[in-house]
Amino acid sequence: MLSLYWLNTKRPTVQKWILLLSSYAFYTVPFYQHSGWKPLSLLILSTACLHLFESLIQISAPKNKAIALATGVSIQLGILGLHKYYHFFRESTLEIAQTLGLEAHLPLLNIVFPVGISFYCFQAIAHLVDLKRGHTTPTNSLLNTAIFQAFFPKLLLGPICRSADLIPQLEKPRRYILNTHQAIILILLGLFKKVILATYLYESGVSNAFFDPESQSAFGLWNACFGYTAQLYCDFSGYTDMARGIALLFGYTLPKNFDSPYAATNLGDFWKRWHMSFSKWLRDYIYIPLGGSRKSPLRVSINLFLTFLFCGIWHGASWGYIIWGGIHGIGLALHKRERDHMRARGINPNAPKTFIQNFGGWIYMMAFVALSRIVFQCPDLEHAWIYYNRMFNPNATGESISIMMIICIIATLCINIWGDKIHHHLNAYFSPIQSIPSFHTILKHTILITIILYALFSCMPNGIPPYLYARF
Amino acid sequence: MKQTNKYIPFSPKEAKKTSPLHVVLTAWFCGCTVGLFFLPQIKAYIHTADDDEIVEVADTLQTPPTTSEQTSSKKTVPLPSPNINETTSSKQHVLPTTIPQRVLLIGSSSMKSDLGALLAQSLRKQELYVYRHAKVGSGLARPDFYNWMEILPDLIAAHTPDLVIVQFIGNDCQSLIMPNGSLKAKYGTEEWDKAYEERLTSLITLLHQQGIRITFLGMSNVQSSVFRKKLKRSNSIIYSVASKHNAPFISLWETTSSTRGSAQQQIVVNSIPKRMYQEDGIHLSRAGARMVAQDVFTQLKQLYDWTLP
Repeated sequence: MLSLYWLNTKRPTVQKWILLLSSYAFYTVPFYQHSGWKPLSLLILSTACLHLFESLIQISAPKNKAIALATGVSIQLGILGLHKYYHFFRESTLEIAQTLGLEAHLPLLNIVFPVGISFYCFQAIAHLVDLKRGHTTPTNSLLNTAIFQAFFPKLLLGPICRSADLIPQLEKPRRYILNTHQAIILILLGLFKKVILATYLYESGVSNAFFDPESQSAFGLWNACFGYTAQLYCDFSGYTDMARGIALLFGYTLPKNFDSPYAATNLGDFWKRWHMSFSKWLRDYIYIPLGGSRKSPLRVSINLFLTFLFCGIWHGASWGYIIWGGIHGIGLALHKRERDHMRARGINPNAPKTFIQNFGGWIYMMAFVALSRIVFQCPDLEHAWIYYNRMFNPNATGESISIMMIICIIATLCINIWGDKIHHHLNAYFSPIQSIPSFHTILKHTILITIILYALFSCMPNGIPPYLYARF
Repeated sequence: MKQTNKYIPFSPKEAKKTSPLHVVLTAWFCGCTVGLFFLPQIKAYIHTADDDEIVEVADTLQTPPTTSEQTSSKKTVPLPSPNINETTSSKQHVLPTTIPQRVLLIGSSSMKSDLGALLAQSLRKQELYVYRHAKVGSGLARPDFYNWMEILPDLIAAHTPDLVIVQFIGNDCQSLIMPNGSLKAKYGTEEWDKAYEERLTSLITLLHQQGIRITFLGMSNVQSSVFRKKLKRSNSIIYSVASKHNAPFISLWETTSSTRGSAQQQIVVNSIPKRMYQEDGIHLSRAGARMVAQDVFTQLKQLYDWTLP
């Protein structure tokens, strides 16, 4: 497919059709047995609605643009809401009605949850809002809109692309492979994170602890808690790295989604580095419209809380996600208040800190992030409660710490702390590929890459677990 | 963040430096990555490409009894022998008569997630030692992927169980591969049935030789009709092998099937109808797994005389 794509450099439309059809095939074939054509139909519906309302926003009189925007956004939210939240809404409503002694009838629908729906619907919403605000240009054709929505490297798990970044790239023909060395580095790093670290963490029993906390000792539960935190990062950032690498091979650049989040020394810093495309989405389309930081301290805290409550709901339809979002909202509100107090006392919160202060902040951030993820990952609140209880009960017996898990956690932290340096060195080493390479250079790098790839696939355990973020 | 700035969407300066060698290198890199990554899947695909056609043919050749035919009432366990005090299997292995105190749960995805976890919790309430070891996608069909016959002795040595509860079937509806990756038998053929029976017998013998009892959990119904047909077939093979070796087989089929034989869509919990299955139509939802685990546990309790409530 890549060869076919680059053989048609003089026919940009053909190139785009190749990209679109490959994206649709990529989205349909693996899920066809379970979901049939439904996921693809929804993606096409979302794309058609996006293109229609994009055109309406463009041609409408200024006073009608808001109506077109509201309708377009509502349709995207409707598609997302029906397919992601209907069952949760239905069961919660029936439970509440039963508690109140009321009768409620909501049918049980056979709804398919299409992978990636949260990502492409949010991307469409962002595009419509940006278009109305005048922050981006419209796509010139339905084909461009379709690729904007369906571009396969980022279709399943993001990053959530801004139209201002992606649409200008779609307008220009792709004639050359850009940054070959960057693409190779990103794919190799992504593979290492996903097939080695995330897979070994999964294999070493992280999920056992969350499904069955009673089988674990207190140490085992602490270990699994940090193990899951590491797994989530390796799994998701590994995917993003590969997605960015593959996009580069097709001549497109996708935004960075992670910036060493576990090297952050406070919660605010963590959210600037974790799932950056989504954090920015929340900031621009939820937090700022709510009033952002320009309101009273209480209102700012409420805004942060509401934004992160929404962040929790975005992850899925369960009380665990909502509580997790609420905990982070409260944590960030407290963090913001603390910084405001520092400013009021004439202290610059951004001033460089001592090593001890940074280390203390890092411990607090890691503990907060890891402990809050228990409620996020446990299948229900009952299990989360048992998990927390046993964690702090030194007499709890069961499976204990796994050495493999500890090694992988340490490796994940090293990637976070020295990731930039590793990337810099790899970049320097592989950059000769980008210039017109000699036969010797090509041969040297070919052998090296072969060895790295062979080592990666030889070390990986059998069976790659599914991506954790695919269910969000 | 500094790194992102280097990725300029389109840079003619960079483009001038590009040579056909980039295309060659990129194509080679992609081929190598995809090849190494998907090699096991490609191998398995070559072996199983025409399984669907074969199963249709094989179904006409052989019609094994379905679990619903084997059982007279809906929730009856199709046990070869409900009397667990019987001390010898057909292969003359002496099995203990005591009540099992140490249980090993092994299996694939269902055992790794809700069903296995809930079952383990229920068993632990009987003050039993319970250890759960599951590998997603594993079974007896693909020892090249995960060889249970090699792993099981280590698990037994580490946890000394007196009872092993096994659930594999879901991933075994495919051609049988040898540990070295070569094909043993194509799915749906009589040769496959025979080879699968041999693998099941080896598993039972491995445990019975050491005085460990084994109980098979059947596979729950699924929403796909093609897959349902395959599962029915595998369920019945396991049932017949278990019967021969005096190993209990607990069927989940009836609990998860509607009156018309398809997969049950919903389950009523506290008067609220909930989904029985996850989105894939194969794995049980939390509510579904809770119900099935409770059902299995009740049957295990009867089988092994565990007395705590």
